[in-house]
Amino acid sequence: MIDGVTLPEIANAHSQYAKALTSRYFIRNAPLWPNLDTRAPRLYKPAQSGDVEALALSAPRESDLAEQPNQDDDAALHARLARLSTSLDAQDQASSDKAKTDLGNNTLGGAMSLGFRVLTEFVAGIVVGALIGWQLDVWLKTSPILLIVFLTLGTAAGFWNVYRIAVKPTGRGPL
Amino acid sequence: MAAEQGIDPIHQFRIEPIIPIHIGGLDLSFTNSSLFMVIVLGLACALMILGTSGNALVPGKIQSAAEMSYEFVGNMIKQTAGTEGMRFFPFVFALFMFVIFSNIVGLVPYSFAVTSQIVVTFALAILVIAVVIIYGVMRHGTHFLKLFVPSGVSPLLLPFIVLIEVISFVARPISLSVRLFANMLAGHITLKVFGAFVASLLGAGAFAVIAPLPLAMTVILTGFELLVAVLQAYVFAILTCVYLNDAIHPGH
Repeated sequence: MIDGVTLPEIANAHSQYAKALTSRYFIRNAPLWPNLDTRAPRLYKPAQSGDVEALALSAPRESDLAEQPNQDDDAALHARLARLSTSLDAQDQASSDKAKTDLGNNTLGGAMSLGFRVLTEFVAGIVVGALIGWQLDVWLKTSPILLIVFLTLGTAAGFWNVYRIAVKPTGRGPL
Repeated sequence: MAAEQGIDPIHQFRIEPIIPIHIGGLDLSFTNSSLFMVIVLGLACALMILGTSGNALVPGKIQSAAEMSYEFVGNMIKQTAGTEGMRFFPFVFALFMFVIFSNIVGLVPYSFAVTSQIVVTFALAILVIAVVIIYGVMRHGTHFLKLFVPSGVSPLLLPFIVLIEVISFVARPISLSVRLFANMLAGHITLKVFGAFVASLLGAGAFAVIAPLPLAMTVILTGFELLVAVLQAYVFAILTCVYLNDAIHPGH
């Protein structure tokens, strides 16, 4: 007995906690690797204490059990699950934030790729405009009016591309 | 003779048939380019197969690499195209792995950089744009054309804006392919030129004293090219996501 909680109850909470961990892990990854389902039994073997430690996730704290000695195990478990969910979400958020800055615009690589992107988008707009105008001139025998018109439009498209990159470097929807 | 060979920096991009195959006037030979594409595919498949076969709860080195590449591409798609974009995960992941492996394998001396051929990068870019157009039309029908008609433009300007939008859409596969191709081509030529400087200086009597300078430059450039190789694969993949986002939400 520790603060009114029996040892089997603690053990039960531990195993449910471990199950919750693994099932959460499984659910997070399941839609992404559906064909790994068959390997689930091997992937998600019953959690041993070593595994949980290796995941660097905390076991139920003594204080949690001590705080509400008379309440249901369920309530304590829910509280722990909620805490776990928050920490997992925070972890996800942190990792996605990290991914954002890893190759973002703050590094030399990011700046370089952005610069080269601007260059190619600009040149590609002009080249495509010139090619369309030139080909239309050949077909309609209006040389060189359409070449000039489409070269101008292509330059505008090049500037427009650059403007869009400047407004939203890699964010959602360049339009 | 050796110096003369070294000064030809374009030689490394020559396509040489290994197994000549000619069918009905078409040259379908298995070339050094094809060989390195097979090697690249083999390496990418080996990474993923070895990485997922262990299934350890605490991943080893290869499993970590496989999981990191998965998470990296997954996050990239979720950030640029939303969770709906995850249906294109296999497509983007395959593109990313192919480009990054061919860029890195191309840096190994005596190997062949598949992505330094405009034919290869343009084929990849056209594939991306074809997926965008086909999926956009399948999912939104004629509504997909709203991509070219931004909202809130005065009717007077609209024809010009639509033309500009069409031109900028057509320019996408070109800028996508030229960017990757030009980066790889320029990097390999630069490396070769600086390498040739070392060889020429060593054969130039007293000037051999300054031969270590281009050698040091080659070392620096190799590291730089490694950065470019990874970065261009990332840029290719993230722009694929941005374009796929247009196919998913054309009205934006």
